[in-house]
Amino acid sequence: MEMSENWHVNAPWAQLVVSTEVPKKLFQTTLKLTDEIYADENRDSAGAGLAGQISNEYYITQEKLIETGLMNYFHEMTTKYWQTVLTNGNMWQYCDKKFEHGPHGFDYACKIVSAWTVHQFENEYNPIHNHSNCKISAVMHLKFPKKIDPPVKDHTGGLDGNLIFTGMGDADEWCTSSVMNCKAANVGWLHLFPASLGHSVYPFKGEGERRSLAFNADVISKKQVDAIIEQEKIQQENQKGVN
Amino acid sequence: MRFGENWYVHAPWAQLVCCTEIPEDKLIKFMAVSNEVLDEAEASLATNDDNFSDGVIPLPWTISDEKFVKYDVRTYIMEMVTVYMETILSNGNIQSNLDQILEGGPHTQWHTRLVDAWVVSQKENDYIPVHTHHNQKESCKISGILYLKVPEQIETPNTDMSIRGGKDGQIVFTGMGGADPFSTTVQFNVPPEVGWLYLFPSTLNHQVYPFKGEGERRGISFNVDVISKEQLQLFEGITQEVPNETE
Repeated sequence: MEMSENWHVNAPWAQLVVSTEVPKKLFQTTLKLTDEIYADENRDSAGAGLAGQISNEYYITQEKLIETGLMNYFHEMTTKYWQTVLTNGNMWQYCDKKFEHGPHGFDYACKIVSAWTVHQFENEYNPIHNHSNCKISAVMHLKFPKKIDPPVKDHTGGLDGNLIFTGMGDADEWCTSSVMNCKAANVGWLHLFPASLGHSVYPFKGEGERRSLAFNADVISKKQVDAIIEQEKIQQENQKGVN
Repeated sequence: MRFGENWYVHAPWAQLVCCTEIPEDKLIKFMAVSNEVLDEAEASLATNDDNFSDGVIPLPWTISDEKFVKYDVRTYIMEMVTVYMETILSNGNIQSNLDQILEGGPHTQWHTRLVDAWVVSQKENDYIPVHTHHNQKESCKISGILYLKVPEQIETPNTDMSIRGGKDGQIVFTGMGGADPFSTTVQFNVPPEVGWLYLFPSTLNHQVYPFKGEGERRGISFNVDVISKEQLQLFEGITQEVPNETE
């Protein structure tokens, strides 16, 4: 990964968390969309399939994502995230070998599998979990209470309501840390990460809402897609022959 | 870590390998350092066994600090180590983590010290088994490797680091992690390229594969220790107290 001119950083053994600031206009659109979903009597609860000890979690339909421009943005950011992963050390050559029908180079397609909102209030939390049936996940922070109560213990100050990533590795105490604290109060940021990466959200005390939007995406090489289409064609031809 | 406009990448649980291509004039100077070290080593061993013959592990030849100063490359090494250190500190919450786990925090300034350096002259069938630089006689935290010579047969014309073969003469870093087989791999194979400097934590495992044929694979390796200004102040406090204890 080229960090700046003539300075490349590599850690192909690590799950990467990438953060980017959402364009202001799209951020406002997303706030409005999630307000509407929250106010909708027929909102579709996502709670049954999620780990959060949270009462208000709702699916966002594909139509709404397309209508608001979020689908395009999520596609674009997921693609950029995957390109970042591929340039991490020898990841793209590793993927060429690992995935069937290679070499794949940088020619991959992505699909947004699902998206949902999380409306978190006082004392609610999200235990450590990861996301299944997808490869890349993301969280966009939308709202945070203006003022939350001070933490019970002073030395844990600044943790309440935060998103915590817990990564595997941490071989060197001096230059690594297995935990990454991501401040949820920094609204308007999108964080992308491998779906397999453990993460949790701490509860907070006080009035107000902590709101986020999450989505899952799948990534597949275009050659693999072509191979699947080809296989389906053969199956259909065979089926015709049988009939 | 900022990677371009509005794109920040973090993996604080990972040991980072950074690389940079050194300027041409510096490469010439480092080459001169290695030539001088090897010439001196050869002269001193003329009456002993031939240490330049094939062997499992190429003998490393120590580079004195004065040699780097003489050829005016010491400052460059330390500058690159500083950039590496800054990269680590910008990786997720590493800065705040160090403030917590190391005594004397918050740590505002970091000092670096070149611990040792050596030339590795590798010939046909030589290899270096998996090792780290962590458990040396002296404490070190950051290590570096600079490539000076690469035999034609293992030289890669571009950065296409094929993992399907052609591993001869490559250095392989093996990092801890690899939690996700889709987006991670525990191995990082690097074909040596003349003029490229690699910096990594001294705790990171690495090895070098042998190669066949003529030519020399030559590099300079070094270890650097890092300590914060605040930690130094703590040590100074301790050393000042010692005479009082013995009184």
